[in-house]
Amino acid sequence: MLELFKLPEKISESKMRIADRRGFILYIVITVLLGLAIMAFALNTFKTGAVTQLSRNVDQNRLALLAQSANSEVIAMLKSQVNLNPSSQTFAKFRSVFPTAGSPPPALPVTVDLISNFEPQKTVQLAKVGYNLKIRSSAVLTVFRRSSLNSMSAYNGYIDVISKAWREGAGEITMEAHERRDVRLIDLRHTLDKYALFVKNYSNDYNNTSRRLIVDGIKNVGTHDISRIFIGTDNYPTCVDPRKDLWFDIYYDDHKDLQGFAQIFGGNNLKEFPLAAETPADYPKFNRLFFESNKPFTSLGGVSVGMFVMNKQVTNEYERVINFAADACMTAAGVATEPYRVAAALKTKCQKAIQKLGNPNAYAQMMCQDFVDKAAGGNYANCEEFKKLLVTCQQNWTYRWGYTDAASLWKVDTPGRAPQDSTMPDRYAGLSNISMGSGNYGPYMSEYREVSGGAQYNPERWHVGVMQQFYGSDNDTPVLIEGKAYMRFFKLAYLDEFTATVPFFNPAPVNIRVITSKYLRKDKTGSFLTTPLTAELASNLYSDKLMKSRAIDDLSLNSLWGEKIKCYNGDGQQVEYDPMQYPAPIIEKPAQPAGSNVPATRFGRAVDFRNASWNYVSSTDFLAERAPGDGKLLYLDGFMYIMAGDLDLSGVTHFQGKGLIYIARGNCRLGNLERLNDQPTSDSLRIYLRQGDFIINPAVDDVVIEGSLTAFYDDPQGSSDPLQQGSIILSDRTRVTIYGNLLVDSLDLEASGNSGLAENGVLHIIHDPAVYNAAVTLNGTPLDPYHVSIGPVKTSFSFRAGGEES
Amino acid sequence: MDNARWIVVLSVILSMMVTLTLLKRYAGGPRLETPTTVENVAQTESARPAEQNRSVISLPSRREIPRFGQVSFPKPAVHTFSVDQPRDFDKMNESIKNEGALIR
Repeated sequence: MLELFKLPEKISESKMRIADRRGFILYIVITVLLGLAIMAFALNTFKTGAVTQLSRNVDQNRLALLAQSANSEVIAMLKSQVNLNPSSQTFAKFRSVFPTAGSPPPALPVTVDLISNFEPQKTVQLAKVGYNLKIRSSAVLTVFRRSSLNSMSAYNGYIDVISKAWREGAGEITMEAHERRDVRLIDLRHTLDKYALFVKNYSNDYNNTSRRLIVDGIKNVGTHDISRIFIGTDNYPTCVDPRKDLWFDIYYDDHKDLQGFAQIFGGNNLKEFPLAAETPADYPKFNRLFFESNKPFTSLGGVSVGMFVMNKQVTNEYERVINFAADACMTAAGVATEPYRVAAALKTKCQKAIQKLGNPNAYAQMMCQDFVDKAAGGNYANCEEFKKLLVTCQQNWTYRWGYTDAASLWKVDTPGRAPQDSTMPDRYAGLSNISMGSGNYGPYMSEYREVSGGAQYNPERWHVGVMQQFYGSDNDTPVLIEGKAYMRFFKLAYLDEFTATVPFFNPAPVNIRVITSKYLRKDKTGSFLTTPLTAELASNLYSDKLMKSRAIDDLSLNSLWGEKIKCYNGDGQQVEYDPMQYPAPIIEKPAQPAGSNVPATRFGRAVDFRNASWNYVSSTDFLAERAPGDGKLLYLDGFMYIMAGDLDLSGVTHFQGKGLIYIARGNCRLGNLERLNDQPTSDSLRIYLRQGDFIINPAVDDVVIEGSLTAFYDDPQGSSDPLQQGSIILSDRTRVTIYGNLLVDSLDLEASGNSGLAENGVLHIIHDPAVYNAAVTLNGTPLDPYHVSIGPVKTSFSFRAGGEES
Repeated sequence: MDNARWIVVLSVILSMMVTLTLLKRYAGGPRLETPTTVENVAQTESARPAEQNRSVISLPSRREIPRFGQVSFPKPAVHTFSVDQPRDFDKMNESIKNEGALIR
């Protein structure tokens, strides 16, 4: 039986192997499937976590990016509105920091909510591509510091911009980006803006006829706004003249229509000295008198005929009469007459005549006897017959005088200032006729060229000519002129000739020729020329009580305008300045508050460097950043400080924006430079040189510069060294126009080394109303005097990730 | 372990490699980029970012001084009546010597 169940050995082994393999294959399959399952499961788990994490990362990154974008958009919006969009809230809110007439300066620190809960549209548009995101921004201005100078209205502050971004409905993810930017706020107006021209140092060019200066003030007649001009006398030439002033020669053609001219002279018609009827027709006439008058000698007062005993015209006539009497004696005695004699020789001649005639009752001998008895050399004062002549003179003399300008007396267009031909006759010769003076100069010039105390008495006095045009191109624009500035015109005077019969022993006609009242300096006393009269000769307003021909040089230059000038005083009150007074109420110092006593020498614009919006080490840095590309356009952004020049703006032709370029050291070269945008625009340029000169580009002629140019040397101020004086080098240009204002230490229109104007060149300064007061309204458009600079750099930047917004 | 069992182990390893390779290929994960040479930029000094050239269409020159028919000025600002005193300049000059040098 056992054998029955016993399988053949070979069969059972093979069957067993088959059974084993089946299990093995199944095992492999299961193993593979299990491996795949594990892998799939692991992968699924991994993917799910990664995707979740990734999506959160993406969300956060996206939100962070959008929050930054929102901040940038807010900054961009603020920048675009803060200076350029007066109708925007941003514009107004930034300016709310500045004090106004109605609101005092704020207590610092002060915060201003610029925007709150603002939705930056551009960023939101970007965000809504695929996601429904919410973005809200806010910006707060914090102002924490004011300029340390009262004259500078400027503030330091910063803006905090915060933008939050979150997914709508998934508020657990919120990103908040915060950034801070520095802000500089400045009111560019300054006390010097009211000056169209401010020159601290003495200049001898104010009557220059070959280089002209024209100042056009703001045209706003009737209000209290008026351009000012300050003319200083620092570094006046060394001289002994107690008056170290400046004189401006009026010119009939320029000034005849000004009210002051008419008031001073009683009209503006030209007049001439009258001549006797028998005067030849070709006798030179002086017909450029603004005022002409005459008085009998007896009504002048203060002078006596005794002052004329040594006068040539009188003594000559008396000598003629006595010679005639002596000759008459000799003729009557039948002897030959002797030649014409004077003084002691005449006395000898008279003695001989008396001896020859020997008739004490003869009138001729009586006259000779009087001469022999009383004459003392050339002095005939004690002669009775001479006294009769003087009395006749006293009774017949007519004093004539008239007022004219320098251009009528001298050839002011020529360098030597030769006398006009019309002044050749004695009656017109008192000031400029060379024969009456010394050297090659007439009395007026020679008296002031005279060396006294080692220097000329006063060289400024003899710079005669035609005053520069301070009342505009058409002489119709008022300005208020400060400084020791006096107008000047001249008086020509003489005692007119006459013919009259003198009651000598034998009455005889005499002809006393014109006695020229020539100019004599005031300190040379003892002459009828410098003896005060009791009569007033002045036509109006001023005083003239001297017989000499002279300069009337003590009227304020402002009186030429002829009316009260409305203006603001140093305290900002509306006042009226009345120049039509005598003595002249000149304004010696620049306008300043009561109690302040700052001399013009120390005027300038101090700045607080911490208010600077940009600091540049060099002008190269400045130009690279502010005038990029071809360098023709300059972008201004508030108060920009450059440590060292020279700053070469000769390649810059236009500017945009508003700013003050303050150069601590170095010159500034300028060519044509104007606003890019037409006025009315708030764009304006101010350049202040603390230690340097403006240099006009010599390669350009007919230069036009729109800007306020100031070169006031500081540290030291008031130096007599030309290298330490701020000026404008005009580079021999024919025409330089400054539409703004010009404030310099020294101004030389005619100078050696091509630094002045070319011959017949013109420096034309037109006071820009937007410089005079940067808050002006032009043609209905109010301009903005403020500038806000928002820094390009984030001074602080942070993120906050959180939740809760939904 | 006999040879058959080694075959099983190797087949499992092989199948896992194939699976991972396929997964990696079709899962769309990040691929390794060929490394590129980063340009070595000198960073010796941080220059100010200069503005790019702005395109200006034209820079017309007027050369005429504008005249305005209507000009009205507000009352001058209070600070424009302040005059810098000599001590202000002295202070400023000190400031230039100290703070002014710091910006260098």
